[in-house]
Amino acid sequence: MRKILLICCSVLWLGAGTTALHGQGWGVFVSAGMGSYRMDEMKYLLEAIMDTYPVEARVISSFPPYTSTSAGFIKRFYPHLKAGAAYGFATSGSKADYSDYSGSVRTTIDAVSNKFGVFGTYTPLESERLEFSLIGRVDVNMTRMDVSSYLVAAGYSNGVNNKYRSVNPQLSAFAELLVHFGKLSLGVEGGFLADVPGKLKGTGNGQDLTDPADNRTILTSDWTGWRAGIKGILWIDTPDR
Amino acid sequence: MRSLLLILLTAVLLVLGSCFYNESGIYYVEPLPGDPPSFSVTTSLDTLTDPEINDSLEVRYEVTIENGEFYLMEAYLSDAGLYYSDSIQNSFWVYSDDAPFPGPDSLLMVFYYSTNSNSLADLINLEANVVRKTYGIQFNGGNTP
Repeated sequence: MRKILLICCSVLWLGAGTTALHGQGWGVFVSAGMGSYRMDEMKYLLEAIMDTYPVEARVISSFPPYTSTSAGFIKRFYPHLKAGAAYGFATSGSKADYSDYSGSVRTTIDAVSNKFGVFGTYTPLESERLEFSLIGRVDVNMTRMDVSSYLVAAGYSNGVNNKYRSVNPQLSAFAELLVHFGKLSLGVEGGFLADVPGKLKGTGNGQDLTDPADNRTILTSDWTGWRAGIKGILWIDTPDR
Repeated sequence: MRSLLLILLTAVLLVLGSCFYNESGIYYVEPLPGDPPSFSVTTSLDTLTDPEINDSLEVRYEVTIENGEFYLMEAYLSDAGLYYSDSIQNSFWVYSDDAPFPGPDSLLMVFYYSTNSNSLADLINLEANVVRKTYGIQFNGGNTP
């Protein structure tokens, strides 16, 4: 406990007396990392599709943590407040498969998230070298969900591929720790994203993706989960220097 | 500055492909076969030797199968398709004008039935054991005037 207190005091001391040590104007940033994705209803859909197989298939993967990236620009408005706009990309998916000498049957669900949003950053701690910030972000997220099933056996093949989309808002809260190297800031960030599940609608015929057991229930995408990654900011305009 | 941006963009483009989710794993299974099917077939031609066809001949066949399923029978006359059955055992007719020329010919009957291997192809009725039976037939009429 004493150690933790000591570390906290040290960080506060580092942050103390930091007026405008980093008086950068604006910059561009890129962050790349991993995200976990809830996707409960898509996991359920995969299981429901597997139940229709003539054989006992196995889930190879089911929306594992996968790529989550973001890029955008950031502008400092006040010593401790920054804001910006960003594009974000995330992807994951799932797969069920059965293969034997005579053929295979598999279903894949590929999910891609493209989002655009704005964010605000509050920097409670900042020194010449280090910066610790809290970030709140609001996005409009567009999900693309491809659901494909294929069967190949004894020279016979059959398959179906359906594409669905959804649009929904997302809220996220992050914390980041940056180290400054002149015009370049590098660091790590992590946080939680809360997604308002988006109802999936077919891109071709516009038909909703419904629950196989109840066609009145429309299935949704859900990108809710933890995010973590590395981040780099290139400060373009440095008026205070 | 420009070169730095260019390097960043190039790096982003290079890693873009790996950003997309891709799962290449498979679940490979060695199916456990059931008891092998016991299959036998008799036809009305079994007791005849080179039967003569002046006008027509009915060929009857009867299949007995255990631990399996009879799928279909195909009949060929001189490598040309003559008759295709469904899974119902039946009979078919051979007419004198089915042969291009009068004279001796051969009737090939191919029987397909399940393997009971419990493989994917077996479970969707796409994998079959095959039994072939060939009979000599004498066409007295044929298509030639």
